[in-house]
Amino acid sequence: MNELLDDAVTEGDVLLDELNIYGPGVDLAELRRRVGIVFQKPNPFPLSVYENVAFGLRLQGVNSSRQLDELVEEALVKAALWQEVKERLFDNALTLSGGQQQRLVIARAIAIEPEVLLLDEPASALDPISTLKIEELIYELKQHYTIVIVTHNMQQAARVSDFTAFMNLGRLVEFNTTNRIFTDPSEPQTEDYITGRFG
Amino acid sequence: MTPDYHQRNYWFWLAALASAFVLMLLLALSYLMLSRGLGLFWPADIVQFRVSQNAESPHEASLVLGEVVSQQQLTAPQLAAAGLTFSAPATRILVKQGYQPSGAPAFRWYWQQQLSDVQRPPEVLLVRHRQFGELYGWPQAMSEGQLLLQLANGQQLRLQQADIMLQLAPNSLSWLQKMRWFAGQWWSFLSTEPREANSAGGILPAITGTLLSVLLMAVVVAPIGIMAGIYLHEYARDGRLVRLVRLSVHNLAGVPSVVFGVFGLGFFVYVLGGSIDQLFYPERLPQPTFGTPGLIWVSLTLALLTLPVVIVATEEGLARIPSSLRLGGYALGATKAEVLRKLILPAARPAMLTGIILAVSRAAGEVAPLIFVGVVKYAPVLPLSSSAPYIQLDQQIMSLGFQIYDVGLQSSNADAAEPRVFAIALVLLVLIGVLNLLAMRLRRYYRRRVV
Repeated sequence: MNELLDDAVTEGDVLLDELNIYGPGVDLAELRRRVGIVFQKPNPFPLSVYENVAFGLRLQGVNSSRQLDELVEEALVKAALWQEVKERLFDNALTLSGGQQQRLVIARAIAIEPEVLLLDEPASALDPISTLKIEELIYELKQHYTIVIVTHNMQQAARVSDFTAFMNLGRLVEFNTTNRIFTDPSEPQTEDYITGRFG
Repeated sequence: MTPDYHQRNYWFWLAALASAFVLMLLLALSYLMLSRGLGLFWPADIVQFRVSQNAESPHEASLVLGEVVSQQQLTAPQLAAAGLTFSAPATRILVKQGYQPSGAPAFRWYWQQQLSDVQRPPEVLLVRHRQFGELYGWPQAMSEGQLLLQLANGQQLRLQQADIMLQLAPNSLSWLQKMRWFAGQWWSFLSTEPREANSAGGILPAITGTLLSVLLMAVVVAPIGIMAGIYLHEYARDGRLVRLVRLSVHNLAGVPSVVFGVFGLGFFVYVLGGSIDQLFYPERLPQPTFGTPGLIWVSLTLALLTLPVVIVATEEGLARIPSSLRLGGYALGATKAEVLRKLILPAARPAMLTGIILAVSRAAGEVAPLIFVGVVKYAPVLPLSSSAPYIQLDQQIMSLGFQIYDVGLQSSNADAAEPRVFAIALVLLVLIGVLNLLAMRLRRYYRRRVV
C-alpha cells in the first residue's frame, strides 16, 4: 500500500514465499488478496455488517447467497464478533462501536483467507477492554495465520507475538524471538528502548 | 469578558441579521407570487356605477360596469402636478370594463370622487366571447342559441351561443361556487393552449416545453458531467493541462448565459443541425429539418450551460470521501475500477444528485439563451407524438420563462397581462419546487441506503 502514498520511499526486499513483493510485475490486487491488512483506525465501508464481510468475497467471485452466508458467518465467528452482531447483520456497519468496527474490519480481512495478516496498530485507537478483545483475537488467529502486527505498546508486543522486530526511523534494528528481544537484546539501541531509556 | 467574546457576539448578530433578511425576502417572494398569481382566477364582483365628468349635471353621468382591479391614493402634490383640483387625498380605481364597442381600452382609471350610485347587481353577466373577449352586461333574452346582452352604454349585442366560451354571474355566486369556478379556471389555465397572443387561455405548451427541455437536458448533462468529474478527480494526473481544464470548467460557470445562446445558434443549429440535414435529410433541403432552432438544441444548449455545475459538484463529492474507504477497498484486493464502482460512487451519489438538482433549477429558469435556439412566442402544438420516438426533437417549443417575458413586456395590454405574469411565475416556481422535492427525496433515499 506504500505506493499509494506520495512521499514513501522503500528500500530492501520483502519476501512472500520467495516472491519479492516490491519486484517488477507483481499483481498488486493478487498480492493484496494474499496479504490482509487492518489499519490503525477502523474503516468499515458505509454498508451493512454483512456486506462489509461479503465485499472481499464478492470480489473473488463468490456469488451464491448460501455460500456467502456461510463464509460471512465463519469470518465473524473467527473474529469473535458473531455473537454481538448476528441479530444486526443488515444494520449499517458505522452503527457498531469502535472495538466492534475494528473486529469487523479484521473479519472482513480474514474472510478472503489471506496467507498473512498485517495489523497496523490495530488497538491504538481503542479503549482497554476493546484492546483486550482484539489481543485475545490475535492470539486465536495466530493459530491459523501468519500475523504481522505493528505496535508502539511493548507489553502488547510481548503478550501476543512469537518473534519481534525492532524498527527505528524506518530501519530494522534487530530481529529475534520475542523472548530474546525482551530479555537479552543484542543491540544497545534495543536495550535502551525496552528498558525505557529511549522512546 | 475577553475581546474574543465580543468579537463572537458581533459575528453572531451579523449572521443572524443576514439570515433574517434572506428569510424575509423569501417570504415576501412567496407572498407576492401566491397573492397576485392565485388571485388571477378568483371571480371578482362586478360593480356598476355612474360616473359624471362634472358634478353639477348628474343626468349626463354615464354608466360603467366592470371589475375593480386596483386602487391608488394620490396626495395633494401629486394631484397638483397632474393639474387636478380634487381635495386631497383622492382615490382612483382601475376598472376592467371588458370589450368596448367604441374601441375604448378595456381598462380605465376612475376618480372615486366622480362615482355615484355604486351597486353590485346580481344578474350581471361576465361573458367570454371568442371574438370580443370578455364582456360585462345584463342578459336581456336567451333564445335559439342566441344571447342578447345589454352593455353598460346601453348598446345591445346579439351573441351566438356557439361563440360564447363561458358565462358567469359572479355577484350571485356562493363562496363554494366561486371556489369551484376558481379550481376549474386554474385547471384550464394549466391544461389548454394560449389564445389572443398569449394574453388569454392556458399555458400547457409552455409547461410541456420547459419540462421536456429540462428533462432532456438532465439526461444529457448527467452522464457527461459525472464522467468528466470522475475523470478529473480520479484519473487525471495533476498536471498543467488538467489545471487548465479545471480552470476552464470553473470559468464556464461564470459565462453569461446569452453567450451560450449565441454559441448554440452558431454551433448546434447551423453547424451540427446543418450537417445532420446534409447527411440524413438532403431531400428536404433547402427546407431545414434540424438546421433550425428546435427542442433538441434547446436541451443541448442548456446542458452545456449547466455542465460546470454538475462537474464541480461531482468533483467535490468525490473529494469529500475519506481516503480510508479507498484504502479499505484496495486492502481487500479490489482493483481501482472496483473500488470506484462499489465504494466511491455509491458514497458520492448524493453529491452528484445535488449537482443535477442545481443544474435543473438553473435550466428551468433560463430565458435569454433559449430564444436563439428554439423557444418561441407561440408554438401551441406539443412536441410529442404517439409513435416512436414520441418526442419531436426538431420542433420549436414554448417555455415558461419566455412566457413571463413575452406576456409581461411584449403584451399590448399591460393591465391584463400583469396578473398572468404572476400566475405563470407561480407555476414556474411550483414546477421547480416539485422537481427539487423529487430530487431531494431521491438523495435522501440514497444517503440512507449508503452512508
